[in-house]
Amino acid sequence: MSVEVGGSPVAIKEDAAGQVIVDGTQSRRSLYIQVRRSQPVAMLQMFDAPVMDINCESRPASTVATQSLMLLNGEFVLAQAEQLADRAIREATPLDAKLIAGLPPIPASTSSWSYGYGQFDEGSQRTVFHPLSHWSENRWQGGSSLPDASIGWAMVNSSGGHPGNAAHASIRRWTASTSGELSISGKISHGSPNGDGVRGRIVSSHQGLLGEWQVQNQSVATTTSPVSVQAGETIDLIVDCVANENSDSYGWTAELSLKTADGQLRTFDSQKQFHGPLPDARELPAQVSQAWKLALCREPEGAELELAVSFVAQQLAEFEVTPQGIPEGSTAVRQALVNVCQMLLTSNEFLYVD
Amino acid sequence: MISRRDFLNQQAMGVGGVALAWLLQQEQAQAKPAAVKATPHNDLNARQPHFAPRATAMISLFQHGGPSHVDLTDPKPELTRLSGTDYSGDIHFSFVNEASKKLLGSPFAFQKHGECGTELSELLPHTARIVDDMCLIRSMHTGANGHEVSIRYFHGGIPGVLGRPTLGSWLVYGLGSESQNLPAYMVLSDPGGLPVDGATNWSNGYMPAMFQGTVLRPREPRILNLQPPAHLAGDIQRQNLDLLQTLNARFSETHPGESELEARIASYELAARMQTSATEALDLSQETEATQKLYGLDQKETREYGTRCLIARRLVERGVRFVQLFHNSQPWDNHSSLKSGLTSICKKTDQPAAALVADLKQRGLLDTTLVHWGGEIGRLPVTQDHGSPEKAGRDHNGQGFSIWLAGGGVRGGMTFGATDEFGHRAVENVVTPNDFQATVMRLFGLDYEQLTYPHNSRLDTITHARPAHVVEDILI
Repeated sequence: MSVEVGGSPVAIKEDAAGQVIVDGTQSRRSLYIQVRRSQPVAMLQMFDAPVMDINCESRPASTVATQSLMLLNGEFVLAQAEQLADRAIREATPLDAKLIAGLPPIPASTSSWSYGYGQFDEGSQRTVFHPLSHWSENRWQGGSSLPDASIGWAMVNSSGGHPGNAAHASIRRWTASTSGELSISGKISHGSPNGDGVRGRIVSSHQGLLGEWQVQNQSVATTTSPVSVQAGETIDLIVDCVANENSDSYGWTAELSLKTADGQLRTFDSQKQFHGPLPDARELPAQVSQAWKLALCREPEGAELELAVSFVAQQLAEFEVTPQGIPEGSTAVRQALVNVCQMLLTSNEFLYVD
Repeated sequence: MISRRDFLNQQAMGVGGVALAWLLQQEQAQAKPAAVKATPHNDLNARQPHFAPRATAMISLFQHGGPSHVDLTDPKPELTRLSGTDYSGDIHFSFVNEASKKLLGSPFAFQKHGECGTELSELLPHTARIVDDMCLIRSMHTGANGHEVSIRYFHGGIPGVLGRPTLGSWLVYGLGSESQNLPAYMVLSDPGGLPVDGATNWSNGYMPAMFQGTVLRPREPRILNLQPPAHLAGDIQRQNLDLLQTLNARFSETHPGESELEARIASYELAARMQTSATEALDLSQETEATQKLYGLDQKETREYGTRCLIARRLVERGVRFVQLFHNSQPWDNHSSLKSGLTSICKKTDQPAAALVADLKQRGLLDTTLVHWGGEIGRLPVTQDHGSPEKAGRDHNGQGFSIWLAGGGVRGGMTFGATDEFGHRAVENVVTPNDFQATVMRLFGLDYEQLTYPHNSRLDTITHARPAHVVEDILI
């Protein structure tokens, strides 16, 4: 929080919903928010900020469901929960090993998506896949510089990527965690008149080539007919440079819909679910403990930490089934922590100081 | 280093405690008279009124700007006869720099309607059909001409003064809420924007925030934060809530007897319920085609206002105590182009307002639902001249104007009070906004002088000890 004293007031504005909010992100005290009689700031008004037209000798403190709605669903609180979570991640210190041993187990963090380079083998009709080891800014690539000395230009980002030379195609891989019927829809695009374009293929580890498209300076829909997949089967979206890799930046976004045996439909969006290195779920207990210290200024009690860790484990399991529970740009592990932080910020202990 | 939380926690017993003790000693030493100590309540539990109520809910169709009574509800043959000549009496103008004393007769024809024979102008053909359920008060008087002055008088009880709780706040404070799934006091604002004087129109004033109007936005999201963001929908939010409630329950164990904690725990469950119940209340597709047509949802001009009137009916059906509709940009404020301006706003509001009364009646709700239609002022019998007759308008008139009430224990098929022969000043059975408030309270079974809230060392009422009386003649 900024401790700057005095100066001009913080501006307010109406958001898309017509709610009066602070304009932009800033960290000054709410004392400095501009007061407009006809546009009271929604968050302050909801929590009994006095009507500024007359003297207020005693502020009432009300408890209404609309406050709870704001705490549960409001953008401001959600943003603060994310900030708290990120700070807890940065500042977490390792917990005592004995303490961790007594906690409920947390499933390892997994993702249906992985990113690599390789080749399509014409003979076997399968891909050879090696993970791209380096994460830089917003993409996976071969090494710390792009192009990499051995792997070249091969890289994958949220909406597409770039192939390396003919021996180093870029691959976005989806792994089925359960069996079902899979349909794929998407679009591949290449945006330059130079070079010879790119070739995109969808290849299953069990069933071989499901589709192939070549594009140069155009976009093409990439749809496959539904296929039955098994748990552990991989689907590779592999893009190679055809003959040469000049001007071969491509876009390829896809949505995979898996209908499981019990009728559930799970959707996997290649762009929304794109991620960098996955956080280690084993760090969660320490992060949760740090969140407690930041929000409530104390360590969590034994029973509380157990409760929170069970919650996190439950959430991670839930995210497997409901991947849309992870907002774009986040990961399952981080989102579970964000949810813990939001509940800490809305808890009575946080709201009411003795 | 000490955290802010710890610092504040310690103050309860530390430095702050010492200061408080000293202050209390000072107070006693000066032997001030004991301050008024009514303990107001801070919840919306349903409460019994002072006497048997007639109305249990109210829908107020507030017509910002000042509808021109001499063109709508108050025929003045003398005005028509002497139109074009100068008024011989004194005019209480608002815009003195544009003052003209030339009388402007109404370009609209009046007719008797219904069994009661109440006269309304040709601009209100739909309202004309409900005159037998309506009590038309022709003798309203604020004494002031300005918009805000009179708006605050109507809502808060004192002309021009800000920071007062509104009529809706008093009613929900006094009676609480029937519905445990929806806010008790709701405001339906205009898609064009907030009304003149903004949030003051539904302010809780010095009462706790829970008594303010909850604004139902004219576009999605209708209630702020009603829907969780996509990633929190469904089971995930349920899991979050379960964690929260477990944490809160543990905290309550170490802080027994704190009603605020219990209240907040309950409010989360209500909030979760509201996510579905409010959505259901706003789902107009459930209404029959006939009903939608009645409110004018099938026509462009009436669709918007009709939608809001229909939502208002659904809300009171589901236990909301007080619903108020507002316009933005004061469409009744016809300083110029009276003829076209008035025609246009009537086209928009006449059918839906009448449909509301008819619809409530046919569902058996009119007896317990008070419907109010009116603005904060009326208009003058003299013209504001802008050249051509088409451009002529009327200036503000808070000395005499009309409102109507229907249902909720109000006698139908009657007119009450009268203005002078030109429609300038209320002369017979004058009704002030304070009288209006006292009467509304009575219809709800409340004594306006006994419903108090402590403020500034006194027990305040909506009329703030100003002269007021219940208008008994209009009660059944």
